[in-house]
Parts: sequence; C-alpha cells; structure tokens
Amino acid sequence: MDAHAAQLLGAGLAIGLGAVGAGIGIGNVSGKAVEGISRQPELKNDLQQVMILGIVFCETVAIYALVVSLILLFVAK
Amino acid sequence: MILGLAGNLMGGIVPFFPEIKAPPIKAEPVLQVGPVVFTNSMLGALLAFVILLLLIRLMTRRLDERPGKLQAAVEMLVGGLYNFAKGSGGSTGAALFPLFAGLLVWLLVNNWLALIPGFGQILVNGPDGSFPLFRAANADFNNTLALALMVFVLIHTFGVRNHGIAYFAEFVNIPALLKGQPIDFVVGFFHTIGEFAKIISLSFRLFANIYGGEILIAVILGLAGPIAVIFYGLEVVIVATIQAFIFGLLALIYISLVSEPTEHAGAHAEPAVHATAATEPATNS
Repeated sequence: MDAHAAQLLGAGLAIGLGAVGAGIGIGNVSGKAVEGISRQPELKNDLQQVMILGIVFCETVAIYALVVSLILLFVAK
Repeated sequence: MILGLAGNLMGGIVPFFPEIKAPPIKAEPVLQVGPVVFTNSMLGALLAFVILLLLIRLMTRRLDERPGKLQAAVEMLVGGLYNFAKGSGGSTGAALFPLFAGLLVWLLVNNWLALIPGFGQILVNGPDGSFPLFRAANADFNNTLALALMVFVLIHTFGVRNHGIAYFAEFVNIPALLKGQPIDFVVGFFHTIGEFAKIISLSFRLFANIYGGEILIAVILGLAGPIAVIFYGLEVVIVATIQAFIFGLLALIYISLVSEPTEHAGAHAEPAVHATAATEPATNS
C-alpha cells in the first residue's frame, strides 16, 4: 500500500468513525427531546431550542473529525 | 462549441454547461486589482451584498403607521427573531439582537443565493480550464474563518467589558496560584484551548455544511441525474437554513455567557431567575 492510498484510507476512516459518535449523540438528544415534548407539549418551544443546542455541540465532534480528514486529503503531503 | 470558441478568443464569460464536477476546496482567483486578488467566492459575497441592500431598500421604502402586507410580514419576522434573541440570550439578549439578526440574514442570503440554479453555471476561462464566476461565499473557508474570528474577538471584548481585567483570571489563573491551588491554574489552560476550539468549530461547521452540500449535489447529479437532485436539494436547503440560524444563535449564546454577572453577583440574582421562570407559563397560557 503506497502512501497516497493510506492517506485516502485514513481520511475516510477519520470522518467515518468520527461520525459514529456524533450520530449516537444526536440520536440521543433528539430522542430525549421527543420524549419530553410528548410528555409536556406546552414546553415544545423551550425544549426545541435546547435540543438544537445539544445537537450542535454533538455535531462539533464530527466537525473535528472532518477537519482531520480534510487535512489528510488536501494539506498533508 | 461556438460559444466555447468565442469564450477562448475573448477570454471572457462563457455560459455553457459542461460535465458536472465537485468544486475544488480552494476558491479560484478571477481578477487582480493592485495587490488585492478577487476570488470567485468574493464575487459571490459581493453579489449577495448587493441583493441584500436591494432587499432592505425594497422593504423599508414605504413604511407606514398602518403596515401593508409586506411590512406586516417583515415586522412579524423581525419581532419573532427579537423575542427569540431575548429569550435565549438572557439579560443581554435584547442588546445582542442586531448581531444575531445581522449574521442570520447575511448567511441566509449567501447560502440561499448559492442554491439558485444558474448561480454556479456562469463559467470563466482561466489558465487551466474554465471555472465558475460565482461561488457560494460560505463554501470558502476564508469567509467563515473571518466571521468566526469576528465572533471570537467580540466574545472577549464583551468579557473584558463586563468583568474587567479579572476576566483573564479564567484563562491564566494567577489568583488561584497565589492561593496555592495549582489544579485551578492548570484548568485555566484547558479553558484557553476551549476558547480557540470555538473558532475551529464555528468556522468549520458552516464551511463544511455548505461545501458538503455543494459536493452532495454534484455527486448526486453525476450519479442519478437532475430528478434525484430534487430530493437531496430539499435537504441541502434545510441544512443551509439551519446552519445560518445556528451560527447566529451560537454567537449570541457565547457572548451572553461571558456577559452574565460573576458568581457572587449571580447568587443574589438567583431569585430573579426563578421569578421570570414562574411568570413565563402564565404569559404563555
């Protein structure tokens, strides 16, 4: 396996494995938010706002993985 | 082909449709004025700027005490955003509304403009192949990095303004060191790293979502043709909207976090928080 192939493989693995954790996190957050909304529909607006924030902070982890894979693809020689 | 030939002769704008390919990660330079190089993403941002100015002119041209349909709709939108900023920004939410709404509208116009068909299809002949004349401004990392740096500077300006020089004790915790608590001093380093991580996450979140949307559209177009793009296009539009919203919201929240009163002041302010929480359901019902 030459260096370029390893680079491509690493880029794919970085974002792929990084997205797993973020996906689990986003699923947890929105699932719990749906539970909360179905229990207390009058709090829908507040819960939605907190849910969006939670999703954003989970997504941040995937973005770090994406940064690594973009560096591997475009910057690393 | 005739158009391509003419374009080659003039070196000018060539409106024709080549095979679809994903945009490169770097924006292409279009023209140079002195030391300033204009890239195609800058041209896209300029176009969005002009459109935004026209929109503002259109909406504020005939203001009336008794609003017409357009004015009523815009007022309702602005009022809703204002209430949202006030609700999520805490005590400084109302003061930060212009920043929040400004970021939101600017990013929204930029993101939506790039999704209009034909925006990226105007091609220019360059030294190595043709490239689009306009590019989504947020699909260029320089643009989102500039916005994130602006938010970063604003966060710490507000922090220093509200807490004075003691604000830096959160990052270089000399008082804790003098009191003999080295753990707190080390924690300060992690706070510092966390602050710089805000730049990375803010700028890359926006850039990656917009650039990823462009790549997604190009790949789906190449794989399945224009009909399939309708389904993915919807998702890309939703993502572009949400990301514009989130960028503004995060700027608002980061700044309102450093604008909160300090801990000992917060203990006194706590009954007020409970009071507002208690009155809120009453206003809703």
